[in-house]
Amino acid sequence: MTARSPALETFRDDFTYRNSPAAIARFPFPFPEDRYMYSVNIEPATRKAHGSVFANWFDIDEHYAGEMAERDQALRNDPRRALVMPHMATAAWDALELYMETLSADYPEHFTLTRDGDRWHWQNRLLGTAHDFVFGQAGTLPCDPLEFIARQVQGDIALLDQRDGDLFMDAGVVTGPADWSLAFDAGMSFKQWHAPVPMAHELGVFDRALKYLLNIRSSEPVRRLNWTLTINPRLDTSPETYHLWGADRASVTPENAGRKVHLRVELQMMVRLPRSNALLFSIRTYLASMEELVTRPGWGQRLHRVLRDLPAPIVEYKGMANYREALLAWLAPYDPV
Amino acid sequence: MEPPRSLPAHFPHSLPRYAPLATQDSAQHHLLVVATAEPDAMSILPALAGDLTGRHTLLLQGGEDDGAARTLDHALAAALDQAPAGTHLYLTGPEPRIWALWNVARSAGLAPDAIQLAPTRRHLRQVYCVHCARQHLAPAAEALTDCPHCGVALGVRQHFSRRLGAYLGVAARAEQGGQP
Amino acid sequence: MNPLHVRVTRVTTLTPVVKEYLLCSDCGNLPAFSAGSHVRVTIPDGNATITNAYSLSAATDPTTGAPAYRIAVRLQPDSRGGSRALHQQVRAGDVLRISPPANLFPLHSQARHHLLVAGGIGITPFLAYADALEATGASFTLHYAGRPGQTDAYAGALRERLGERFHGYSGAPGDRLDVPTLLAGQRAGTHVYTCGPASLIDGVAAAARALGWPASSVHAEAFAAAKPGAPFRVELRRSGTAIDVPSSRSLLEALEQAGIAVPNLCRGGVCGQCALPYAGGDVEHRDHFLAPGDRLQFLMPCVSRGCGTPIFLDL
Repeated sequence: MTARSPALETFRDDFTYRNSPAAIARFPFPFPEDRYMYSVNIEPATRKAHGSVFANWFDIDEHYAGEMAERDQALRNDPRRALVMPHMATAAWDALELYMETLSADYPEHFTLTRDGDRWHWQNRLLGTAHDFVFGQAGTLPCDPLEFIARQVQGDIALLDQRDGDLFMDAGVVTGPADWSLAFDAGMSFKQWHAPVPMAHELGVFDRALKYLLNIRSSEPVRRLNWTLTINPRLDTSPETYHLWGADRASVTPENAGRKVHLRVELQMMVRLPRSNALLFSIRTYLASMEELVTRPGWGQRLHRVLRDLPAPIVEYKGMANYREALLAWLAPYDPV
Repeated sequence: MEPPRSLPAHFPHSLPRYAPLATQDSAQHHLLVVATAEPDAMSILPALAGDLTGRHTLLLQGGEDDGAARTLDHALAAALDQAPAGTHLYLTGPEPRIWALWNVARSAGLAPDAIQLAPTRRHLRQVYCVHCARQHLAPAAEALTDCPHCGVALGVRQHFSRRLGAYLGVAARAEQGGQP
Repeated sequence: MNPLHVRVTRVTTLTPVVKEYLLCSDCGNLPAFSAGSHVRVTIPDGNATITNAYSLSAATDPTTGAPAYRIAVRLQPDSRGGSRALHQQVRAGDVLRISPPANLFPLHSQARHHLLVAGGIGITPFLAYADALEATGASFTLHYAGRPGQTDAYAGALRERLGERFHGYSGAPGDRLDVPTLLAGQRAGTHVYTCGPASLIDGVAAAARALGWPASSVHAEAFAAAKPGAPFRVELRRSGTAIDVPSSRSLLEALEQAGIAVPNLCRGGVCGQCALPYAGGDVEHRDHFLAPGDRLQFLMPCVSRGCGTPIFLDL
């Protein structure tokens, strides 16, 4: 990889990441109501208005270059963030094919895929790279196919093996998780890796979600939104690096909350992979500070109400117990009673 | 959807739930493995009715040290290599050992519903340090443990990996801003 | 879900009751598929259509190597007419509408050995299995019961290709597939996959159970086209109309023909997707999905039928 250009925004250390007004306008705000509760909020991934985050299956935005550099850094620091169990090799190639076909069709200005049987040529003009390789032949790419394509798309990727009426997390590239470890969770079933989530199990959310996901067909991907809060625009909020970011939660005051506290929204896409029958789970993360979000009409008020009335177990699980009061103090003026 | 006012506390979904070993009557072959040299561990094995000559194999760990554990791991792999379909596996011993053996069995292609586990002593549990990716044994009753490999003080979470046979350990004092 | 349009490039008579159809894309690429996948083929039948599911046996034209879907259709003596319409009316050059591939019979990733048991036309998914298993070097054997020259399509080619891994059974005395003995001789870590008549599937399941095989290691391709039944009536509460379902149509097909779209997948009573609530009426439940209690409130229109007083649907 080329050395990082000094102009690239950062998601760690000095946190130079910022959103343009256009990025804020298209931010996937996850709260349709003043109250939030877990539900099976899965819907078909129909392509929405041109320019929205839902227009394409895999969204490329203004943060692409910075995120690719961040991923490269994370993988250098910890190669265990990429894992493909031997039986997932076909699924990894499936994922590469899906991303290359979709990105070259949706962003022809950035990506070109040309194929002559198994001999593929892939050009990424955003990164200034080109590769010739043989599809399905390990060794003709500089690294595992899943890692290869993950280094060129925004968002984490997990590949799930479908067997025994369940889904198993048997492969992934996860450099920007919301406090979960691929190295620890690898091999777990659907409900096992969701074990730490409070309340949702008792509500039957995971039983219904699993049934739905098992029946997803190749031509019909689905999506849902998930959210949490992060202090500073930090992508790598993994348990592995918790000792680096955990203390940030104690640094929030009513004065700096607007700048420091970020809404972290995951746009999750679930797609059936054709050759392996595996499920691809893409986790596209969007970050915006409270200051940025309240520039949109109604969002300040909605954020205040949702966070004020959030059930205690969810407050605890999403790690905001230490600073919620300071944040609510900062948001209060946007919700005049 | 309106949430119920109070939800029954649920048993964390990734934690193992153990039941007493029960004889799988239809099994073609019973493979009994005792992963400890403690004499009273044998008493936990199910009482098998009838004449089982040729229908069961008993593997015993010869000591509590690593060498004895590795010998047992190899013996199990060898037994599974020859075992007929319909073999049922019964594992008993300290919790970290029986999960290590569970993984040996899974690598040999044995299905999880052909395996039963019953831990003997549960006063120690295996903890995975997420920071250095190494594991160590810690008292099960204690929520905190220092990682002997990298020194970080870990909080042990209610989250268990069958593949690793260990509970998740994450830096305990990060949010207090103290030294990890 | 968007159907695919395929052109029949070749029809080959493999036996007096089995025909093979090679399907090529009429526009664009044919999607890749996993071994065990099937497509639902919409078969013109006079003014109406019948939809049947067929396993994809291969992904290429064996003579040219070009991408193609290959299916094989057995003329079913007691069918609703789908296989008969295919055999008698569909020719090379015809365009057919098919669903994209879906897989209800995938290979299991954790098996140490794959034991494949085929009966008659049930051989078709195993042709795709053999490709996939050979590509990864996995261990497998194929046992194929079929009447020579009738329901043993592909046996010769498979014997040649697989050698010792293939065992054929003609059904003649002394040459019958003995399921209990076959299963008793397997090693731990073996998964068994069965595709064929219900009697074969049930026989393998029963033998596996009796031999203590873990349930997770027993797999079967269970879907079957709906068997014919008497005509019956359904009343649609919301639209206030009634539909008379003829013998040759499933309730699902009749609803679709009346312009009512019902979510569906396997069309064979196993996946649960088309489950409909009903209130009143006599139902003959033929599915493999609903629990007995659920059948008091739900039915699967792809296979189940009315058998007395009209069924009331909330449609």
